[in-house]
Amino acid sequence: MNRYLAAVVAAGLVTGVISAIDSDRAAHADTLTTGSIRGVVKDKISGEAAVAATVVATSPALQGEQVVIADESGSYYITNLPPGMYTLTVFYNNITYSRGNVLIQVGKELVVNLSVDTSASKGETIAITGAVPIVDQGSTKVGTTITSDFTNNVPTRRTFGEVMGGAAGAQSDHYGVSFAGATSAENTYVVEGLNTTDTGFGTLSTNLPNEFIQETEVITGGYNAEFGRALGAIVNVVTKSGSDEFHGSVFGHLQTAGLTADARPILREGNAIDNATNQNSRYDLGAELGGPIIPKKLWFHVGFTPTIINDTTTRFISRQVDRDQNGVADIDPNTGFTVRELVASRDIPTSFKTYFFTGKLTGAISQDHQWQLAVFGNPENDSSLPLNPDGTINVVRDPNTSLLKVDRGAYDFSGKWTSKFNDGRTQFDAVAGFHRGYNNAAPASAGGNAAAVQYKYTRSLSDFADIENSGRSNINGCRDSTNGMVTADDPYPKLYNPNDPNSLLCPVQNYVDVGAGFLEKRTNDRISAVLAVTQRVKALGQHVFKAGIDAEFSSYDSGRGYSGGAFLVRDEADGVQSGMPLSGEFTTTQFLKYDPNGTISCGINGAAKCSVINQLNADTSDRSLAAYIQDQWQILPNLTVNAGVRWEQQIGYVAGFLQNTVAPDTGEKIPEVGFQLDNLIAPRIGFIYDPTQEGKAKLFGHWGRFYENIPMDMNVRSFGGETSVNNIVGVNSSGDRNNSCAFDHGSPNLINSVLMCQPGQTQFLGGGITYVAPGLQGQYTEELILGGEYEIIPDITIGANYIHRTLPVVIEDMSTDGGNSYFIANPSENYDSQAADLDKLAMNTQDPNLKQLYQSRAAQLRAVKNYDPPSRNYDALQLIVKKRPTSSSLLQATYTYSRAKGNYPGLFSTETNQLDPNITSQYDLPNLMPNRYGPSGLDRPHSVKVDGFYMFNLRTAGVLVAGVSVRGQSGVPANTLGAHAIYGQDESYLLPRGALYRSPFTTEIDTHISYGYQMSKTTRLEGFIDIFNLLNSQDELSVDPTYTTQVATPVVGGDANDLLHAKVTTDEGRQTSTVITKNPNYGKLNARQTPLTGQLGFRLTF
Amino acid sequence: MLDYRFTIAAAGAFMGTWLVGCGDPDLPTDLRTNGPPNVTAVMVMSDLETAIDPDSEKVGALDRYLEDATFCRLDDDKRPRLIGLQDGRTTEVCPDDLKLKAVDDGVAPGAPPDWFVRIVFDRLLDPSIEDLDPVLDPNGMPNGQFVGTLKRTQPVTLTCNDVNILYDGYYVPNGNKESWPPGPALFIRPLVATDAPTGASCTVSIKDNVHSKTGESVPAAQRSYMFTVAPMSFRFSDPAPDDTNDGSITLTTTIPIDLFFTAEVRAGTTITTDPGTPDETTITLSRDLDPAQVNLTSGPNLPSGKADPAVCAGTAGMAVPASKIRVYLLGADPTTSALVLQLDAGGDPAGPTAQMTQLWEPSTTYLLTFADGAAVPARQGGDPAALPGASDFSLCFHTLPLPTN
Repeated sequence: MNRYLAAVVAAGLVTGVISAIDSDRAAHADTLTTGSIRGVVKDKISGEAAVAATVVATSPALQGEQVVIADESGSYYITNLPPGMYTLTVFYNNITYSRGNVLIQVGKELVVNLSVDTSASKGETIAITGAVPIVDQGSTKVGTTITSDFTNNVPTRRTFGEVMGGAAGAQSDHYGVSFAGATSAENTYVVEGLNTTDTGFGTLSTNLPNEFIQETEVITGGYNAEFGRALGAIVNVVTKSGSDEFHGSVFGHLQTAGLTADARPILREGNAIDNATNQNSRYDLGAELGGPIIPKKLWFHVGFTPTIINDTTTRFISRQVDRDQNGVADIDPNTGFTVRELVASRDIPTSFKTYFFTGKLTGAISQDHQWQLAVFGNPENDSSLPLNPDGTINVVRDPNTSLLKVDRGAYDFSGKWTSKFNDGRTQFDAVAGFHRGYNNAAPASAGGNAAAVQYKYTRSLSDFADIENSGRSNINGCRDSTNGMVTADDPYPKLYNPNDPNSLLCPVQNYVDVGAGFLEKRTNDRISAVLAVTQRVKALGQHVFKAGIDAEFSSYDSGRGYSGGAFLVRDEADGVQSGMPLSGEFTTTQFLKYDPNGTISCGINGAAKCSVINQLNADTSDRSLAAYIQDQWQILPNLTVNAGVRWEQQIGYVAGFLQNTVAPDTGEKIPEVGFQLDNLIAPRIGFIYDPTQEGKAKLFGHWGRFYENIPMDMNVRSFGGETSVNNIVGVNSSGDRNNSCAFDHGSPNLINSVLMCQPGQTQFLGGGITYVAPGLQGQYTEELILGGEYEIIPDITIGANYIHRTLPVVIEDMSTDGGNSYFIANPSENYDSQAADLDKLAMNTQDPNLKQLYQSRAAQLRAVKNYDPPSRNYDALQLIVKKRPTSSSLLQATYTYSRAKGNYPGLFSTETNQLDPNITSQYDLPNLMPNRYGPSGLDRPHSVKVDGFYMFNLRTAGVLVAGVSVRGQSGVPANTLGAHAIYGQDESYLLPRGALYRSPFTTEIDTHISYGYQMSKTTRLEGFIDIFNLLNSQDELSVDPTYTTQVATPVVGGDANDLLHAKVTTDEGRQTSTVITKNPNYGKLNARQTPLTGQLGFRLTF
Repeated sequence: MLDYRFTIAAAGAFMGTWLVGCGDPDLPTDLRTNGPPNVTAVMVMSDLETAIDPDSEKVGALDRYLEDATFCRLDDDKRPRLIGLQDGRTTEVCPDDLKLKAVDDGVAPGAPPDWFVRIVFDRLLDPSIEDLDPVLDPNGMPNGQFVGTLKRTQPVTLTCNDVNILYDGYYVPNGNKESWPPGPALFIRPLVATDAPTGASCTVSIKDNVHSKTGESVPAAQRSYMFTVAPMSFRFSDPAPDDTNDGSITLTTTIPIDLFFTAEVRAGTTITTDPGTPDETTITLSRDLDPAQVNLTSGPNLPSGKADPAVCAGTAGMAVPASKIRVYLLGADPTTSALVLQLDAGGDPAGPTAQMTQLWEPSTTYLLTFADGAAVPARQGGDPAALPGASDFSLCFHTLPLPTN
């Protein structure tokens, strides 16, 4: 708690000091939840500045009004304006001038120059006509803004998390939306000024439906020092507020099976079990309401909507066919797959229930002192099936115990205060809040609590008939006649070759019987505070200085375990067919804890004692501090230079129970701090030049460095005492299989029997904490943006941006001793001097274990420089056309040509989807690196996005809205992967990344048609239909990259011809003359576009 | 208006120039992509412990061959150096200092039982240097798998003591300097490893048909490499003498002493033991190790059942007659099992009473040494392996009483 107080006090001191600076300009706005406007008021007749003109901004979105006086140059600045449509009123020379239709957007600074006609009659109110420019003149940010008009009228999905991909350079990846070549785990999500990003993995945590949101600003680059901790985008969400009138809506959406086209099947070879998931229904019914509690002083806004999704996963069991009775499975000449016929099917219903809520109070003590309290969240209860690493549903398992009960979601509290002083020239902003994300998975039935056994080889599904037939299925049709079963059930008796497990009626690979497997219960909290002070100063132009500090105190409390306390893998029995002698080996994995009373020898030379635990708990914490100062220097009215520098620090703490204990695996005392990244200095500089001098165009450039905030998965896994033991049973001391553990599926008390087997080889993993290289640098991106935007005709702008991003420094865990021990470092950096320091420590210690430890670490550090330098280069040219968003029309079109190349895709592997930020397997061993350079899994050269709508006013008959969303994008490059001897499947890049093939260009057209009936001046009832994927394009999204499941080292720089000669290496590292066997699914379609889906909806707004 | 439009156009052109981008980097783990294929290392299988070592600590890790470099290309950072192995250990193929030659430059020993040569290149070769043969199932039908072979392309000449050695092998495009084993490489293995005598001097020479995919041949100066076949030697016994050699090593009466060599020993005659009993078996006697060269002294254990230290010290006990000592091969096949001789004092080695059910007298202390000059020749020829003299090898052990039941 002391750290919290210290941060608040420090922030207060900074604020106080900066507030004391005198100034003569109004302050800049809080750029997280509001926008601003500036301009010059001039006399239309004389061209002179309208000195002392009074400029008043009013809007339904604004409590009260904002009033400023134009200075001696006629300039005015109004800040802290909530997003919405404004009217500017100018009082000058006893004449009132009014200009409406001024659109204020979050984080944008609008230039509106006002020309007042002083020749008009006194007392008259004159409307200033003409279009208001819409080009943001205040920053170099690139990205997009999604308004409520957009989400109401353009066919979109239901939440901001599903809509933000509309920005140029955005695309979906496995865990969310990727921006500018970075993985989605590198984004930062800010809602109501509060960082709501998941503390554990950097992914989206808080999500809200569009109806609760006023505006979403997606900043994909070019931002100044006030923003940080993101290598991807900053997604800034502002929820709706109340107003002086009661407004709200009741809404509902419905998707049913009848509105959804059938998904085309994805054929797979080698498994008799397939599945198809169809959405039965998706519906929500919600309401949101805002209004005054005290007019002009206190507003409220509340919203609630439950969203229910009911799916059915149909599990198909089919057998191979041998109609010509030649003992070989028939092949379909059209598809190249074996012909199969249905044996049984079974429906497994799943459901996902999310309860979105929001509540907000907005108060204004006066024009200069405003506050806000907000609460929002998205708790979710799911009944779902486990997933494979590639995100597909895993149905190759016991269907009776598959379902998981998952409670997950997030909720947040935030408070915000804004005060202006010195006639509005100084502004103080403070945001504080609390975010909690959680994800607790448990088996839905008692049977799922058993230890799972995975049979990691191909065998007949009939071996699991007891499981399969215990439900509603009947898989007797999978019984091979030569398998000792009922011949009458097998119409293809010759289709059985004991030397070829694929010549079975119903082969299954990796079947998992009983037990849910790995489960985690986690809670991820963050307490954060942001303090900022803004001061305008006049010196060689206009300056807007802004300084701030923010502090985040995060935690990740994890409880991980295996159902039944263990996970078993049966690698392969000597007799792989049923009925053959069983002398298989099992690998058991269990979590351990160091326990003086334990019975398992572990630690250094086995000197410590461990005991098995069912759940490994690690409560970890993290402290991130940042401070920044930036200046928006308006050198000329049409030339602004933005410069700033941001300082960040991140300290990741060791799990509390480990702190100040002695690590049994090293003999070292474990410190409180796991890693500490100091002095992360992130400079930013940019310019904006308006050649029109009217706010209608800008040329801009920006260069900046952006540091990553390491997600806390590292704290849990590297500094959480993760200790596990792998026992190989069923082998002798030489590693040869024996018959000492001859159990198989169906054996009574299988798990207990296997766990009682005499262990052969035992491998301990983890324990204590992971060593961190001294002088560890933060992971950062450098970005250069050059761009231009021009309002070619009123309300229509065209623009072009060039974006160049690099990733010079990466943090990853590594091993230079073949995986025997790991440490965290910056790959390819030179640690020779740090190694020399370790050598000195080794010389000076008398403890032989420590001496050996230091020497080992020194050797490891010296080898870091030999790693391939990390690289992730993103180059993009964006062409953008935008129309001013209004309630009656909108157009936003972008084309992006981009290339994303390198050997480090980001915080997760785009190939294996391993999400362990900064401790993925990507740099673990030097021999994992070859062939990793190339177009990444996020490389899509061409991307076209068009969104728009138009409202046809039918007058008394109502309004008709037609909206469209078009997406077209290049496919992703496909890889050619094999297994690595230690790391397993898909970790060996047999050919250079993305070298052989790219999935085809895909398109999707979504439409929205709505009819609205105006029931009164403020009340409208709308009914609408959205059709997603109108053309029902179900084209290929990706192909199976697994060339072989055998162990093979990369063919460095090779091609398809070389691959034909690639050889198998055994798990033990012995190369053979045998050419690797091609996976029959390699290069075959792996994922399709979602089929046509219709959505009906209504919206009653008032 | 024109001014700023022109400016925007110029900016766009500038951006376009940036987009042209740079070429791909040359990474440390990359192979070379142009120039002739250089030989970065030549490695010889030199693991004398392969898969036959009864030491369990070593065996679990060894289903592979360790290799020593007989050549490392100087000043070439593409040559393999420290490489992580699959079992968490590392092996240094070439010195980290690029100025240094291979530790066993030109003389790396191929292990006699099953040696091979690996020639590592810095770029991919034309894969047509290798043929792919289908693998047949037990019915003689292709099972869909292929193996690589150099039988027909013969990309090298292999000689030992100036005699051509027939070989096969394969081309492996996999690997780089960081992988185990390193690659890409030509893997050369004699068809009959015993064609070359132990201690032979061998040469592997690359032919013209080895070239890159763009046709560049291996430079003439990089085509010929020398190595040796390791001389045959005695490795160890099981059980091995301990430091005290006080006879505390215990054997049952049914366990022989194994003597391990680095090359196959020669087989003598075969005999049948325990004839007419359920334990009947056939053993192959050693052709060369004369029991007379085995000094075996025995005496009763102490009344406590422990070994008699006087026997271990050589001051007591009776010499076991050579006629009672039997030396035979472990197993009957001339494979790696022929690297092991077994020795016991179980009685008539050749007569009708030969048996394997009681190899030692019970409750007896034995002292084993070898006579000076005792040696065992290799089946493949070459200098014989000298057995250690009494000053270097002395094994004292005692046997347990016979089971009471």
